[in-house]
Amino acid sequence: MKGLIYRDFCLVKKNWIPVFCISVGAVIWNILVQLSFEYGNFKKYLLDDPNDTSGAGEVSRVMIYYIGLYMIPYLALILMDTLSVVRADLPVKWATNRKIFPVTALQWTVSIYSIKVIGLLIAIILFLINGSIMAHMTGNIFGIYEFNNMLLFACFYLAFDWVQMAFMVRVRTEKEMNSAAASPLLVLIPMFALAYPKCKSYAFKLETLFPEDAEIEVQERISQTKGLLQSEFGVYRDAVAPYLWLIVLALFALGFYLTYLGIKRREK
Amino acid sequence: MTDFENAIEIASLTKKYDGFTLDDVNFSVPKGSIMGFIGQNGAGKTTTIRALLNIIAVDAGNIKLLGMDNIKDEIEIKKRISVVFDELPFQDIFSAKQIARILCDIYPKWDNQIYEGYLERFQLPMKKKVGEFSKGMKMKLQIAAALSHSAELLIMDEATTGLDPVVRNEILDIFLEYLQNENHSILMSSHITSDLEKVADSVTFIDRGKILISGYKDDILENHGLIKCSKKDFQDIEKEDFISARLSDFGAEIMISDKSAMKRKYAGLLLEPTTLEEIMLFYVNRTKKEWS
Repeated sequence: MKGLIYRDFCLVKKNWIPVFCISVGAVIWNILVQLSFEYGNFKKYLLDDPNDTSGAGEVSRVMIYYIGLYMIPYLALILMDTLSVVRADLPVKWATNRKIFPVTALQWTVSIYSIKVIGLLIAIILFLINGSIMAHMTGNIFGIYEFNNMLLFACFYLAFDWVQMAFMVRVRTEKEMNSAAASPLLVLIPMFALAYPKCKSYAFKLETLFPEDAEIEVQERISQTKGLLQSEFGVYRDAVAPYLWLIVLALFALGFYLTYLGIKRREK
Repeated sequence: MTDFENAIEIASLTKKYDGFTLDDVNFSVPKGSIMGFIGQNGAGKTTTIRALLNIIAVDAGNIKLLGMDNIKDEIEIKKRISVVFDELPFQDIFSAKQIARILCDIYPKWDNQIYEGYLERFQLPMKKKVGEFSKGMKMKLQIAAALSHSAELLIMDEATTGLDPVVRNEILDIFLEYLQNENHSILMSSHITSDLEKVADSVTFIDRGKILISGYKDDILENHGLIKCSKKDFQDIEKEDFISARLSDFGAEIMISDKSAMKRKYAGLLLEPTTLEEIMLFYVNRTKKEWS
């Protein structure tokens, strides 16, 4: 099985290296931005701007902190992408030719998912490193709340991923590949359909909170929006938070099982 | 399991597709021999080989490889055989060294020393990406890999197609070396009959999903012959006595399958030895009977 994992790793290496470099670069970028807020131009022109009474500078710092924080796992989760493996396998007809080797369907599935597990672990490690550095520099909290948000990212990504994998392992032509690549829409469309009424009511509440002609400080707007988010969506997130690891494992298991079934299928 | 007579046994193999049927295929490859599996493009060679390897499901039939059932003992069989297709099943980014690293984990009996020995013999670089290899080099790499894990059976599907005569000759010599071990066997599918005439012990000819001839190559060549005569003399030959006849402005060439009987019956006519290629050509046109 090490040989199979090595093979898949060689095929994803081309994607992993730039994504990994970008992720590390993003950590460095975050550090530089926070240093600038501490000692540089951001401090001079945003935080210490005498014309800014709304506290927009401070708001910018917090937003950049969160953008920097959650950008890392998004990038790093791409490390779990095995679509590039399937695409690379098409010209060599691997879906057929792999059957000449003494490897069971289970072993094949384990090798594909090993790459995904390694990608997920790297994503978590990068996230922890980045979050710890950012929290230390900005004084923001980096704890279970932020970690659960990252796991939520992973859940959404894995939900798309297991659908895509189930299609991808059956792919034998470029045309089928395009269908497989679009298959996450099967998850995305129902999710949007379910979320739409909630989002609509949330938008209405925002309109009520912030009428067009009202003079409200930026910081006040951020604070009230955050409160509304917490009350509308945070409740759901906090309810599933204790089970996020189970959901991640369940999505992994579901994807694994569907991939295994797809690999076992024979040409008719 | 070493106690078996035939490396491959196929009985009543049937597989139906739209527009094509592999129909009741039966043949065996004795242990220690090389069988040429010949037929024109689309005759059913690759389908038969895929069925052997359990790559496709079959509608009927029993298949045994090395004395074991090809479905129940699939993994065990595949540890002990090698399969070579006309294209390398690895992406261009891999080198010979990386391919060895992958295969050494897959095959329990992988021997890296033997592999490196073959690479040296074939003058193949270890670290160069296979994308930069020529077609002949890729085929030699496949064969090096195939011979590096003590495989008892080699299955080759159009492996020499597209190679120049020098490379083909080199590869055929390797096969003859491989067969020095009486426990080794080869099934080689090809439409290049000249290669099979050089190395094959037995031949199976398939056309449109049906086996037309299967037996020892020398016997087949001994039994078949070409009668060459004028069109006038051709009229005296009974239709049931020949496979098919090629007519031209200069006369007729008639393929017969029982040389000794036809020699006696048509004593005055010129009867010449034939080749596998001619046998294939005349059998393919058997339904037309007379063609040009």
